[in-house]
Amino acid sequence: MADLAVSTRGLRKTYRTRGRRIVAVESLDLDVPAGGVHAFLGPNGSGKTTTIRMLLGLVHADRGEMAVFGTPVPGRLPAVVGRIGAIVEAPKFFWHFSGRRNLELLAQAIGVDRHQVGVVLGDVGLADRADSEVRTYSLGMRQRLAIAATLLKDPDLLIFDEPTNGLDPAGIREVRSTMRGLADRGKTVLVSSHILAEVQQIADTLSIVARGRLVASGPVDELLSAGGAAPVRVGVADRDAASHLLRGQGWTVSDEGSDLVVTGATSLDVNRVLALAGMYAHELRTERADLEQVFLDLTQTDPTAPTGRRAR
Amino acid sequence: MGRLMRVELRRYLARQAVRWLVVGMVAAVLLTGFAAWRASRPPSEAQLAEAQQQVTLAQADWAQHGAEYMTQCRAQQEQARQTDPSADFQCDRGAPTVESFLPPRQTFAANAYDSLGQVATFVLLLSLIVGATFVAAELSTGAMSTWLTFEPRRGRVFASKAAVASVVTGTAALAVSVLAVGVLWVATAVNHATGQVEAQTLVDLGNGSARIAVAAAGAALLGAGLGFLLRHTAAVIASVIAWFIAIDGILVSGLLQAPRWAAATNLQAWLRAGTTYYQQGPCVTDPLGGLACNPVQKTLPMAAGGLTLVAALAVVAALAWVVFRRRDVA
Ligand SMILES: Nc1ncnc2c1ncn2[C@@H]1O[C@H](COP(=O)(O)OP(=O)(O)OP(=O)(O)O)[C@@H](O)[C@H]1O
Ligand SMILES: [Mg+2]
Repeated sequence: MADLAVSTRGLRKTYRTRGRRIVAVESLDLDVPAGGVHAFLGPNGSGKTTTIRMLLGLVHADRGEMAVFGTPVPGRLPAVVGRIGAIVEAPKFFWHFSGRRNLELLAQAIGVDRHQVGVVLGDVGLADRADSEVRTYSLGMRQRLAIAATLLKDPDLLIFDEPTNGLDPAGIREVRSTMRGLADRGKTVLVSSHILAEVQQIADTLSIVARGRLVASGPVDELLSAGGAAPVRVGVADRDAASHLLRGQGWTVSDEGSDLVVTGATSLDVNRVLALAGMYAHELRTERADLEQVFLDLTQTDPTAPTGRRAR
Repeated sequence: MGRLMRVELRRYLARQAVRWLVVGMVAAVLLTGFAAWRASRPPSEAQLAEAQQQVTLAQADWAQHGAEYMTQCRAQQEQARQTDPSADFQCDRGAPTVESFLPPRQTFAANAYDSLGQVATFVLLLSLIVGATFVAAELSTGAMSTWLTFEPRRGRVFASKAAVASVVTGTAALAVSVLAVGVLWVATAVNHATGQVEAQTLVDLGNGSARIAVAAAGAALLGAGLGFLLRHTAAVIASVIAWFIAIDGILVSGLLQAPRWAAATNLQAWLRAGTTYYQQGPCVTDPLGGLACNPVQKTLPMAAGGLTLVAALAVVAALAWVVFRRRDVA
């Protein structure tokens, strides 16, 4: 357990609204290894925010256990809270104060040395704009300032709930590289998102939830291969004959306009079979095995089915 | 805890609402001062002339019928005393003077205490509102959840917020009350109408100010507690108004016939160092066969009123604490 930054077992949370019970999180076993970026993925309403809020003691779990760096929470949260930095809300700053002044006020409030302010501003790459008023910042800069605020206590675990919401591509890139940089300096970053593409490049490990349940988790590359063989796109003159031939091999073939898409085989297999039958492909291309596809497949699986997939 | 209190203090003072509180309180004081100045002005030339005219007529009348009036008055007083032994018709006032024909003039000595009471109503209302926004605004904007990620011990967060809200508001109210006394003094002194100010007058005013300050601290605490419970300032204000109308006015004083337990009665007892109220007395059948129920005047001492309020406040605070501890903070 010591090498886990976060772990939950059998976590459950239901909300009652107007007499109805909404299961937000159900039997969730989440493991976030210490070090690296862990993406916490799931479509809207899948329980990511609820899980994060439970970890931070803001929302009370109905059932289950949670630990942060091996310390049970929320029971002993005060003992580890100093090691956790989190953004749970769109951050609020004093508009007419500089970024530095804002952080100095916060540092004072939480009893952190003011010297630390310069350090964290450098960490998020805001050093050169630190003395401008916050109202002149771009959305991405404000988000980075919020990240800097969480760094004031020099935490080991950073929890960001959809930190790129509302940012443009440049802003997303800024925040993304900031997170990657933190992980490279030995911190654990737990970042939630409903868009896989946003975190795919920087995540080391990930967990995917759908309707409150874990459907997959593990290192990103393992999950990629668990997604099954990538489909192969084939362009041939005689599509009907080729289709018949490839199906005969037990592969799945679909006709997509001018091309055939074969799944269950590698491009090498496809090429060999066609060549042996005297057919030549004018196009042969492996579709990239995209995590996005894995993600979509997984989150569409019936979450009530007992076989949650775990690639680990 | 000391650090938390400092944080909360800084936040409290940074709140826009707190500045408006101060502005509002000072405005109330100035208005009261203005009213006192108007009411203590010496009569104008025209008023004097008219009063002079009337008193001349009245004195002439008195010279003729004065003795007659006095005997009449005494007889009526005697009759009244059969039912009410304390009846006093002031039959020995003697000849009419010009003062009785002039509008009454306020003095500091006679009226400052009552004027301070008017300021108190306003101060308490503002204290309640500012205590409520201090908590409710943070809960509804999400500032509370951010703060809880830094300080997850909700007991401390609750206690530091409640303490800062009540202590700071109470202090502000004390300053405002003292300011009010000063303003009233100046307003009446300008008109040479301070009256016969005795040491006791000042002691009463000082004690009154202190009681307003304590009540304001309580009102802020009530606002904060209800803020934790209801999460919106408007909801807090609405529920307090609804309480005074529905529970206090209609239910407790009306249907239950128990004005002793109405919040307004207890508040009055605390602020005015004791109060009187009327309770329905025993009903008697009168000679004509009807039922006559005479209200009985009762007094509620200051301490009883204060303790009742403290008990009620403790209940609200405890409830707020339990709810805040258990509730999910969104
Ligand atoms: N305070 C609440 N009261 C009632 N239901 C809630 C509350 N908060 C969340 N829910 C419900 O719980 C479920 C999970 O919500 P949650 O916000 O945790 O999802 P999420 O994965 O963070 O979604 P998103 O990607 O949209 O942020 C949803 O069905 C949501 O409607
Ligand atoms: Mg969310």
